[in-house]
Amino acid sequence: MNNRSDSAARIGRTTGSTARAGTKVLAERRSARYLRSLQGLDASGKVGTVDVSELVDAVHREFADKFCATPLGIVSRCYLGAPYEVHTLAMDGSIISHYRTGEPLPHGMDRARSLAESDHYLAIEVYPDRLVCVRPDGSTVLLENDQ
Amino acid sequence: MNTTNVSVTDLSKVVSTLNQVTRNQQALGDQQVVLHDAMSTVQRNQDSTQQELLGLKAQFVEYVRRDELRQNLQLAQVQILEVRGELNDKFGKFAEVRELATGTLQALDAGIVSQGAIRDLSEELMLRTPGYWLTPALIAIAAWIRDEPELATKAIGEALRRDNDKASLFFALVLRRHQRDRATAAWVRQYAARQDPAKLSREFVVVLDAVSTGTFGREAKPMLLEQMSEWYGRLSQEQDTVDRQVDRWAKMLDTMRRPVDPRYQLLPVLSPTWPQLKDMLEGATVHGAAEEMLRATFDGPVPQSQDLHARVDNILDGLVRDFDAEEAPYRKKEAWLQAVVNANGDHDVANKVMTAEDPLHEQTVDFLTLLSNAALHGDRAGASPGTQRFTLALARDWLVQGAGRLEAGNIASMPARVELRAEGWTGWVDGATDEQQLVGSLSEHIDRETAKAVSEVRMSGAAQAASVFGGLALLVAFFSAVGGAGGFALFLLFVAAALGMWAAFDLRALPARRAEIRRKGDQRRVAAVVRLRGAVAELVDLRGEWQREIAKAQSLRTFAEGLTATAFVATAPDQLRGA
Repeated sequence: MNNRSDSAARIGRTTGSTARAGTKVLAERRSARYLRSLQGLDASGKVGTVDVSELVDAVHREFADKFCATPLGIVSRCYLGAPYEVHTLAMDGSIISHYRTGEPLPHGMDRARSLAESDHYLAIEVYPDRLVCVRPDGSTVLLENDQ
Repeated sequence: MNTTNVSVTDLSKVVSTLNQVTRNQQALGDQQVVLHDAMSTVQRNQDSTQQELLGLKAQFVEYVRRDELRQNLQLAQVQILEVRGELNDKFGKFAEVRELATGTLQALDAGIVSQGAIRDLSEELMLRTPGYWLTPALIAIAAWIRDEPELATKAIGEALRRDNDKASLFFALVLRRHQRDRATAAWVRQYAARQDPAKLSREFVVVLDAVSTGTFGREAKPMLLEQMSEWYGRLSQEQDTVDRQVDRWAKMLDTMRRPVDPRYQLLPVLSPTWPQLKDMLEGATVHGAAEEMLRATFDGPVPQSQDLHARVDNILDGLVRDFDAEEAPYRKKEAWLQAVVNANGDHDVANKVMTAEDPLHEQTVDFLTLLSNAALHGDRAGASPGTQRFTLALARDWLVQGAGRLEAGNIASMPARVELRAEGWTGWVDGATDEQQLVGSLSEHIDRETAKAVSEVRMSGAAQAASVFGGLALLVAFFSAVGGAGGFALFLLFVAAALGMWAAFDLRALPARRAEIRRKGDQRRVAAVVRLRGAVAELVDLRGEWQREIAKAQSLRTFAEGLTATAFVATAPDQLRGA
């Protein structure tokens, strides 16, 4: 029937796949500090008054401490009011941009838009191969790209 | 002069003829109005006939669909009996051995059946069921009771050769029945050591059952719990395996959709966006349904016998009954037919259910899938209610992630704007739409159409020609009179008057026709506005309902996250305090 060598081979494969392990931790609950920073993304209610570098530091800290991957960008709902709908924090240029209704988002972040508009999620982290929805309580939902 | 005399006589005739013509024209005008009314009636009848035809077509399609479902259902009901008959024919003799298993043990407890009878019966079955693992196992027990170690060893060897795993579990459970805990632990240990968590046989559910119901003794239970928690930890690190579980839970939860309320009647007709709205609302209902399912599963105490023998016999029964590989194809077919019956003949629904429970019919599964099987399907995976609670608690993270994915997918599927169509008008509802504006836009559209139709009401071509020819005749009459051809002029005068009157009557009918068109336009506008307002009200209702349903996702998450596996592991009756 079942034999142990088979089992051992399986264990070997498991421990070898560190790349996949990274995606596992992505689903972990986000820290309260990180959530506060995300809320700060919009708390001022004005464009350009948020200290962007502080925010980016907070994001990098969160991901460098625990996770292997850093998101390409973060999309969340914009509370500036009409005509603004969502804003993004692009991690490469580290700039906050506010987008109007119907205005497309760059860097493949558009797929996060409809989720970001909902008040169910505090923010949507965009990765090359997936989206992670962060709820206001810090819990997360992993979405593969095809979904 | 003579001519003049004749003319006076003729003139009175002409006047009376003209009067006659006027009367005739009047009558003609009246008939025209009547005809117009009749045409309106015909138009109305045609509209209603068309409506009825559409209704009839819908009813026919519905009838064909119902007939197809009815036939599928009947066929499935017949075939399910056939499959069960076949199972009975092919494996019926196994049933005798199965009954003998717990029968033997209980007879021995009572001590009222002679050892010879048990031996004779089990040896006879040995001849009749070649290759079946349970018969030598029974012979081994009979020999053990009679204290014939040589025969017992031989029979044990044969049973293990036929099916090592099931026989080991069988002996472990029989020994536990007699509270020989150390021997039980030895059998369980060698069984567990052989298992590969990536390829467990389905009968491993029995081990889960024995652990969660506290049926294994002091030594075996902690050992198994430790081993299982090591497997759980290790497999949980494999993202692919975990993803598969999350996927399965998402699929299974998605089958819990509740159909949308039939009170939405205008939106389906007026909005081309309706299919998306319906899908969104139905998709949102799974969270409430899942929470109800969970609460029902965890409601009340687990029915559990306080007698150790009864608990072991339950599990033994499951072990010998549910997991024989030869029966698996028949059981799978039976499950498919049962799914068709449950879905009232709808193959699409049955297919969805079967895809969601596919791993239930696989011969070997990984440990996490086995946990999902037991948690999702309980009894059908061979798990007792207690085991289902235990495994549900272990599977809660996958359930939460699966529900989270469905929730996110549902939120993302919300259409940015809802399209509404009525009377050739199209409008969109989004966050910033004002109902009054929509209504205004629709009214304007219909009024524009009415105004256009009114402006198209003119004198008929013949009447226009009549007035032109009448004018010409008058002109020629004048010249003829001047030229001295009095009779001809008089005739032409008569013709001109007749044509002129005809044109005048046609002209007089125009305001009535215009008023009729305006009246209809008003009716159309009022009816369309009522339907539009109704549709907007339904949309508001639907949004509210959707928000209530999707909010249940949070409540489901809170409930599921509160489940802890260890709380659902029972203690054996002989290990309770004071036992």
